[in-house]
Order: sequence, then C-alpha cells, then structure tokens
Amino acid sequence: MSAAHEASLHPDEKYKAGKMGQKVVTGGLVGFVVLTALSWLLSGSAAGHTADGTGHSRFFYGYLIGWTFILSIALGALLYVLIHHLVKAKWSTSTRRVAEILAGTFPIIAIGGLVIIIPLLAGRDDIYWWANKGFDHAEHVSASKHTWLSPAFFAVRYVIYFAAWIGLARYFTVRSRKQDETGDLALSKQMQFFSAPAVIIFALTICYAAFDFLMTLAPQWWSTIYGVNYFGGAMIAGYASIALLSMILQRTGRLQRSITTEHYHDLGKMVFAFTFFWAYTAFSQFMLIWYANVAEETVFYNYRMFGEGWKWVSIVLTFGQWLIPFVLLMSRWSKRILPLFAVFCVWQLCFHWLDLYWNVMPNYHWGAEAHGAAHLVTGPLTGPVGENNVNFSPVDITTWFALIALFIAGIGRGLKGNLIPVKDPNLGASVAHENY
Amino acid sequence: MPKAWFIALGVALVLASIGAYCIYHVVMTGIGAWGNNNSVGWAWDITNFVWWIGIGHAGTLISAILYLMRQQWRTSINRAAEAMTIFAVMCAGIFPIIHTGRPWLAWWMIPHPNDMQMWPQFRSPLMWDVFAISTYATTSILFWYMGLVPDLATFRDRSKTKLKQAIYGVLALGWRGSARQWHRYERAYLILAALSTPLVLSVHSVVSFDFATSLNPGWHTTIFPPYFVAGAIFSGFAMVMTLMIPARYLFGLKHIIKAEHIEAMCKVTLATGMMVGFAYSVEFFIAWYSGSEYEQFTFINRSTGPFWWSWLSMVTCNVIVPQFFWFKKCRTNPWIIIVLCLLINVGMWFERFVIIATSLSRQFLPSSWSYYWPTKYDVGVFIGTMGLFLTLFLLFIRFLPAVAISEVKNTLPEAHAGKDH
Repeated sequence: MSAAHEASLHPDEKYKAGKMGQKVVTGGLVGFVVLTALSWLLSGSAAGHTADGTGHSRFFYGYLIGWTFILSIALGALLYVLIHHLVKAKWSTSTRRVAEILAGTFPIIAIGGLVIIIPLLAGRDDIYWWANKGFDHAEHVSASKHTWLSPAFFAVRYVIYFAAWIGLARYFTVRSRKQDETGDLALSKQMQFFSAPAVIIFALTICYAAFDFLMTLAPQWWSTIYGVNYFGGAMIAGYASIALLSMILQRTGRLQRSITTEHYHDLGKMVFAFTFFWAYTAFSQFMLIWYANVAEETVFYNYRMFGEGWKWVSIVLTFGQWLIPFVLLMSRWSKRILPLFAVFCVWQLCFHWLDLYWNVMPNYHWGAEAHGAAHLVTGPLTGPVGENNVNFSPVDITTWFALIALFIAGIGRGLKGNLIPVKDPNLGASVAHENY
Repeated sequence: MPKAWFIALGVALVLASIGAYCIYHVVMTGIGAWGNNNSVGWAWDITNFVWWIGIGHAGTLISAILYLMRQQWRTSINRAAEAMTIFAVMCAGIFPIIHTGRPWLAWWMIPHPNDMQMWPQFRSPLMWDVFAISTYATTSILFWYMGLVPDLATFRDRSKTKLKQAIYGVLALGWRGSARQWHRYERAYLILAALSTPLVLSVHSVVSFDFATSLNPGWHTTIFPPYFVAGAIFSGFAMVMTLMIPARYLFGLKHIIKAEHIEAMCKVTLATGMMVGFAYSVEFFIAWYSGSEYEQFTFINRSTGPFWWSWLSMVTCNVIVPQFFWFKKCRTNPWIIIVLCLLINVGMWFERFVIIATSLSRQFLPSSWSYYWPTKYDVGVFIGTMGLFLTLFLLFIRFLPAVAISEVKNTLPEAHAGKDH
C-alpha cells in the first residue's frame, strides 16, 4: 500500500530537505543575537519608560510585539494541522508538513519568551504595569486582578500554555514523520481521534494567552472578544506563512509538482476568509464599546482614535489589514498568480504586525501622579490623550526582525527529512486536487 | 401519502389556531396581555424572536458556507434546511411586530418618503434588525427559490394532471435544462452562496447588538456577536435534525439523507455547542477578572438568583447534553439524537430567556427589581408559531421537492464517470 502512496508523487519530485536546515538554524540564531543586541543598543541607556519613547522598556515593548507575532504564526499553523485531521481533509495534505514545521517552532518561541518572563519574575516592570509597585495602590483595581496578575502565577500560566502547544505540535509531528517511514494507517486514525480534544485545548490556551500577554498590558481594561480577535489575526498569519514557506521551498527546486496552484488558491481563500473574520471581531469589539460609551472601556479606543498619530495608525490598519486585501483577495487571480499572492501574504503579515503594534504600543506611555510625597505610576492609558504619541522608534522594527530571525531558526530545526507526508493515504488525492 | 402526514398537519393546524387566537387577543387588548412588566420589558416575545432567528441559521450555513467549502453531503439536507430558514424567519418576525404594540403601523419602520415627518431612528440597533432580517429573508427566499427551479421543472414534467402541470410549469419559470441555463444557474448559485455567507455572521450579530450595545450588565459584552452566531447554528442544526430524522423515515428518504449525513450534523452541533460553552466560560472569567461588581453580580444572580432554574436548564442542555455526541452510538441512534436535539432546543431557548429576563429583572436600581411570569397568551403565541412552522414545513415537504434533486444527482457516482470525486 505504501508503494502506491509514494507513487502518487512524481518520480522526479525532490521532497527531501537535505542539509539546508542546519544553515538556516545558524543564520537565524546569528541574526537573532545581532539584531537583539542592536535593538538593545538602539533603545538607549535609560531604564524604564521615558516620555520620548526611548529607553529599555521600548526594547521590551518591541520585543513583545515581535514575539506575539511569531507566536501567532505558529499557532495558526498548529490549528491548520489540527483542523486537517479533525475534518479529515484531503487537499491540505501536501502542505501539512510545512505547517508542522511552522508549528514545531514552539520550543524556540518559548525560549525567546524568557526575555519577557525572567525580568518579570525578577521584579521588573518594563512591560506590564501590574508588576509595578504602584499597581498595589492603584484605584479601581479589584482583588481579582491582584490574584490573576502576579508574576509567579503569570509564569505558571506561561508554562502551561507552552506545555500544551509544544505537546500538541509534537504529538502530531512525531506521528506524521513516523508515518513517512511505516506508512501505518493507524497513525492517521490516532491523529484524527486526538484532534478533537486538541482543538479544545488550543481554543482555551490561545484565548487566555491573548488575555495574558496582550490584554493585561492595560489591566484596567477588558474585552471578552479579545482572544477571538487575536485568534483571527493568528489564522491570517498562519495561512499566509504556510503559503510563503511553501513558495520558498519550491524556489529551492523542491516540491515542484506536489504543491500546485490549486493549493495556493485554497490557502488564499483561507487568508481571505480570516481577513474577513478578523475584521468582524475587530469591528464587534470597537462598535460595541464605542456605542455603549462606558468610560472604563472606551479608554482603549480613546487613545487609539484621538492620540496624536495613533488615529492615523488606526485608519491605515483598517484599510491595510481589512479593506484593501478584502477587495483584492476576492478575485480568483490574486490567489492563483503566485507572485501576486506572495505579495498579499507578505502584506497581510506586515499588517498583522501593525495590528499587534496598535494593540501593544499605545500602552507604552505610563502616566504618573503625585500622591503626597510619593510619585506613583498610574499605568498605561492614563494621562492626557494628546500626549500619547506613536513616537515610532527604529527599535520597533529591529526587535521585530530579531524575532523573525529567531522564528527562522525554529523553522530550520524542522527542515529535515521529508518535506511532505510521503506515505499519507490522502497524499494522492491532495496532489491531484483541483478547484472547480 | 403517509397517514402520519395528515395527523401531523392536523396537530400543527390546531397549534397554529391557538396562536392565531392568542395573537388576536393580544393585538385587540394590547401587549399588557403578556406577562411583560416595567422591569422585564422584553421577555418571552423577544426570547422567542431570537430563538426563531437562530433556528434559521443552520439553513444558511448549510446552503451557503458548506457549498463554498464543497461539502457535497449537504445536498441531501440543504433544501429542507433552507425552507426551515424561511419559515423560522417568518415565525420570528411575528414577535417584534406584535411587540411594537400597534402592529398595523409596523410599516413605519421602513424608511419611505412621507408627509408625516416620520423617519426611522437609524441609530437604534432595533432598526438595524429590521434591515438585517429583511435582507436575510429576501436573500434566503431568492436562494431557496432559485435552487428549486430545476426541480420544479422535474415536477412539471412528471405531473399527470393538467392543474399540477400548469402550477409547476409557472413556478419552473420556463426551465428547459439547456446547457446555457445550467451555466447561468451555476454562476448565480455561486454568487448567491457568496452573498449569503456574510449573512450567516451578520444576522445574528445584529440581533446580538440589540443587547450588547446597551449598558446592561450581562448584555453589554464584546463577545456577543460570534457567540450568538455559534449558538444560532447550534440550535439550527438541532432543529434540522429534529425534523429531518422523522421525515427520512416517513418519506422513505433514508437512502438520500444517509446515516453519515446525520452523523456529520451531530458533529457540527457538538462543535458549535462547545463554542457556546466556551463563550459562557469567557463571560464568567471576564466578569470576575474585570472587577466590575455589576458584572459579577449579574453572573452570580443568574446561577443562584430567583431564575436559577433557567440558568441550570441552559447549562445542562447547552453544555452537558451535546457532550453525548462525542460517542458514535449517540450520533447513530435516531432516538437518542432526537432526544438530545430537543433538549438542545430547549437549552437554547433558555439561553435567550436567561439573557433577557434574568438580566432585566435585576438591573442597577434595586427598587425596580421584579420577577417575571408568562401569561397564557405568551405561551399561546409561542405555541402558535410552532404550529405555523410545522404547518409550513409539512406543506413544503408534501408539495415541493424536499430534497434538491438536481444537486443530489450531481453527487452520485454515475455523474462522475472515471473520476474519484
């Protein structure tokens, strides 16, 4: 039977990674170290938050954006694998290994995240205001937040999230690679069986991770749809990255015949669908908060709609992440002409980063006020709206690139063995897949 | 024709008549005949409205989204599910129209040039509902009817009496089945499917805005739109199964609506049920996390306050009951499926009741706290809509092609000689 599966691949098809992975890992790690060091130097010598947007906190904020960016790609790719097994999909078989490679980056992302977690545990408040001493005395902060937002408990949740994601990714990748050797159909059954509980674990962890890593930046504020909105962005990033990595691998002469325009077309449909879904969740959050006009909630949009510069970022994001790709990706050709589709994938990834930037960076400016002799930090989204500038810094970009380099190193770890599940029973159907 | 059909129609007509009488009484007396009071100003009526709108969602999901995803198993159930969408929207519309108090003036909600200095309040989410639901009804009817055309032509060609030939002939709009007609039909079908897809999300999202734009704790929360959509699909699939499982036995459709189709629907029900449960948990968590005492009170009051029984029914039916669908035995035994689906429909009704009545009975001002109890006219109108829905469904299944003949033919192996899909 296994011979028949391999026969579904063209005899000239190159599907072995060879030794490319090692070079990618080295390149990625060197890039990460150099760019991180550069970002640290660029962020200046001042510690903590400064009004002009410099200081080490800026480095950490940029780092958090880049880190949640690569995390979202890995999460999107992980769900691709889970859904593939859950719905017993066929078309997505030939790009599934690419998704597994992207989802295999969780260990390296977890290590990268220590740059955020360790300073937090050491008592530093470079990112999260709730780690600041002022938080204990802040008004309008309930007991529940003091419980939920303690560095130790936060770190415990961090471990739980990554244990779940690394565990899920490993479960599916190990079995998928094992099937390459044995062709055992029971492995497909195992993966299908476990995919349903896996999706539940995924849904819970991505939602609460978004609450923890991003929403708690402004601990006064909350929104129940926040996790779903991050999920929408993660799916755009995941599908776009699967398409881009497939294209890159094809440029090395591999997988020429097994990943076809039909697969890119379908990946493009998913990018389109989640572009719409992301906009739907973003609109739901915005419209309901704007309409009800409750001060505790509108504060989030107040700084993003009326802050100097931020209003433009909001407008650019609306057009860039939603309206323009929504209209242009509707066409069949923008998904089937590959150079054009590649542009849209890069475009959506850039705007996904901008979305995270828009979510994170307005929290950078912490207000402060005098309480008697003490000078207390009143946290993000306090103080005059007009003074909350974008204050764009090169560090914002260099940290992003640093994290992308780290992610590339993570991808390199997975570039070994077969780049396609060669003995998957559905591979033949996937290679022959046609949109009609 | 099975005798059971006549018995069912008789029962449905009796229920519909009860509803007609109750509507007559409520319209003539005023909506004071209902149990609504000053605190609980929305009650059974709006609960029923939201519930019925939700029921219709399975049809749109099946006909539009599953079509775009090339899920060919949908062809066995899409026609009946689309019909249910239309009938459910009709039932839903009755409630807010009566609730206006002067249903004969409901047309004032439609923006039109007039000399009364009257114009709808576009800033009200209730007006958005008018547009969302009328768009939904229009698109659903168009989609359904267009899909019917080739099958109506088949009925026309097979009819033996002149009268039937004439009626089906007019309804078939001159369909001859030429290649050109089929080409245009396929294009139009795809476009309508694409247009209907955002409607699956938008209609119940707009319904959720009725609540979520307010300041009411338990109503104002940003996850409402996707949460309502998931709940709508959840209840819609439960209703499709409740009706289609008996129908496939009564009308000998077991070879078309196969056991695996029912099983697939059970899985969709389980998945959407889990999403609903997930949304409940997020709401609870954020109520606690936010530190807002009003939010926290609302959620504690729902589970331990005077309406605890409705909250318990909701959680049991919507969170626990669908878990049985994890087991293949429960997805393949028709009796178990029907019982579970009926419970899910009860649970989804209670979900809306919990959101509406429980929240309104305990608002910010303790002096206006109250309890709500329905009158016989509340119950009667609801039963009436059940009767109307069943009557229309029974007539549909008797006189119109309940299964999309041409689409099913397309998916048969013979239609794809030499191809494996």
